[in-house]
Amino acid sequence: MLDKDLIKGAIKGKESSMNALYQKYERLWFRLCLRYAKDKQQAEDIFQEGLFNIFKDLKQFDPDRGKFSTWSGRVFVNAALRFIKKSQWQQTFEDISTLDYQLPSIQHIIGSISAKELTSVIQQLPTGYRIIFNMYELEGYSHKEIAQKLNISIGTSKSQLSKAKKLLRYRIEQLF
Amino acid sequence: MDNRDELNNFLRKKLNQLDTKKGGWDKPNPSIWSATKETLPHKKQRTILLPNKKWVIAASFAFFSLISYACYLQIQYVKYQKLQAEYVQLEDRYNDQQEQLNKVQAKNEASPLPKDSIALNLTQGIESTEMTKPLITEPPSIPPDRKFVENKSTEPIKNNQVIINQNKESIENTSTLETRHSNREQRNTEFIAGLEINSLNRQQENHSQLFLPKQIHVKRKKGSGLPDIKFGLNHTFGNRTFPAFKDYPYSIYEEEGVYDSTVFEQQTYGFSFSVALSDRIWFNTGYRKGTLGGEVINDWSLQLDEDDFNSDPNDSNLLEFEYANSGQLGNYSGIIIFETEGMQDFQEQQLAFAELTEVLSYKIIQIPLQLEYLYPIKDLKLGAMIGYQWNQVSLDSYDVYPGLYSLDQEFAVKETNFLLDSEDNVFKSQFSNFQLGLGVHYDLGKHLNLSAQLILENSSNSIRPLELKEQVNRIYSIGITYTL
Repeated sequence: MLDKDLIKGAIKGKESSMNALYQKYERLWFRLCLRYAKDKQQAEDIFQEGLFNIFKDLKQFDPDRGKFSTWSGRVFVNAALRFIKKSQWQQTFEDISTLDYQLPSIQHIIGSISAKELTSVIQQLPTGYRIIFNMYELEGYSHKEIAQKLNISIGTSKSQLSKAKKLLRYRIEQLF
Repeated sequence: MDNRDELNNFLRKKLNQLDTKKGGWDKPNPSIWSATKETLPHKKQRTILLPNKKWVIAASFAFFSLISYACYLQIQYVKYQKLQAEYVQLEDRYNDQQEQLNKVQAKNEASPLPKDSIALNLTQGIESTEMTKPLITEPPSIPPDRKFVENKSTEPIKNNQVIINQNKESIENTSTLETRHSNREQRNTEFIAGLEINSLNRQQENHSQLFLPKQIHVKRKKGSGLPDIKFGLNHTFGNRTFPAFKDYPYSIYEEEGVYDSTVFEQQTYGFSFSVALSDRIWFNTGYRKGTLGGEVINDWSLQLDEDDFNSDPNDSNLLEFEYANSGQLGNYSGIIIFETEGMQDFQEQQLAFAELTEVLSYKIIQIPLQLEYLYPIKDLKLGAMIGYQWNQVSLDSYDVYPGLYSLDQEFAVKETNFLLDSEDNVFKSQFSNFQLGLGVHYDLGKHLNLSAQLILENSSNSIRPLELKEQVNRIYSIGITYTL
């Protein structure tokens, strides 16, 4: 069944459509939550809130403006940001100066690790790095959008991303 | 391809590699989905709200159909009344004329006026004429020595001459009498006509006094044929109840949120426009604008743990949690941040009370559609009204005052903040309600009228299963109207 039909059925409250939609996107959504959270427990909290918002606001989804996966991904990102703001915001933007050295290419480092291992490494990043890395590299937000969302400057967003990438490489290199 | 695209593609490809193992690391706890389904608000609303909406639509449709049908019946009734009044007037006029004619005939019969003698003479004349007719038509054989002369002189007329002249005179006399009779009749008729007009006018007045007040007739503007129209200014005030679902998903103690209702004060000013559907039934509408608002105090208890506070660079402790309100007046959410100090010995869970006072002010626009029945008592009119009102509210100002207090642990709140989450906030909504009203109207003069009304309105409740504090709102309306 197409997303469009599933969404239509879910808006009407058809349980079969809701279940089908959930089963189709469950893992994609949860992986996103895992990347923003520091552990599975936290990811499940984010997942629950995001899931609630997805089905609550399903009628706001406009198929003419983009894919359902993109729209739902943004809902989960918002849920993650709200969650993280609550608990860890003050630890977010740390400066890890020890990482200021040249790292090998990312493909070379992560070529042999699994999605689970990569997710685990991302989870271990400090919250601020993790958020900006996820938003910029994986969700496709621009620095301007990130700055607006997180109420920080564009410069901070850029520098945090740069440091996040360095730290990510460093952590992966340590693992292998 | 730049570095971002390169990394994006690689990471996305890597991260989206799905494991085929069942119950893998990327599968959430199945209980989350079942729990979420149970708490989805639109699922609850679907079962309860939809029939409610349907009911409102059906009731609105029935109401307007009823009004339309009532208007149609009223128009038909007015037409019928008009025709009936015309018919009665014509009938009265006919009866009056008949009566007058009978009177005149009776008067003529009893009158000493020489009509009878005229008639008698006329009859005699005609008889005489009839008798002499053969003499005229068949002239007598007059000896040739006799002249046929007219009797113009006083000379004695001999034999046949006299007879002929007498007949002629009698014919002339008859003709003159007929003319006189005719003239007299004409004068009588003129006299009767004069009487008749006066009588008709008097009778019409009497008739309208005796007959028309017994009828329900449309009060119409003289000469224009249009129904009466009123324009007015009015002011309403009172309290209005609104439902809301308030959510505290990030507080420690409250997880599900609470249903709550809010009572706001309402003040509106506007103009009204009324059309008379009949002598006593008016259709009222108008436009009112005003304010709606008040204070909403939210308080809840929290069981705080040391972990709930985040250290900040200035050695203060920040406690943050989210507040969300979704209801009749819009949906909004924000983060409350308490900056505290004195948390050094915070070893176990502490009981605290958080408070959030919201001061909201909305602009409100109202358009009422009402039918009002007015019962006159001297200069007063008592009114009973049934109506429907459309309302629109939009936020004018919003201030919040958060507070945090603890009984067990000594800590002080240095600073509080409430940050609105600008993405999802909607502070504008529309709703409608039904109205019942009782009022008094006092005539200040021919055109001016003062009115006071108590209006009972149902509280629109889109939040179920909330039982509102006030199911019925009491609104007071005062106004002044000018009748054209």
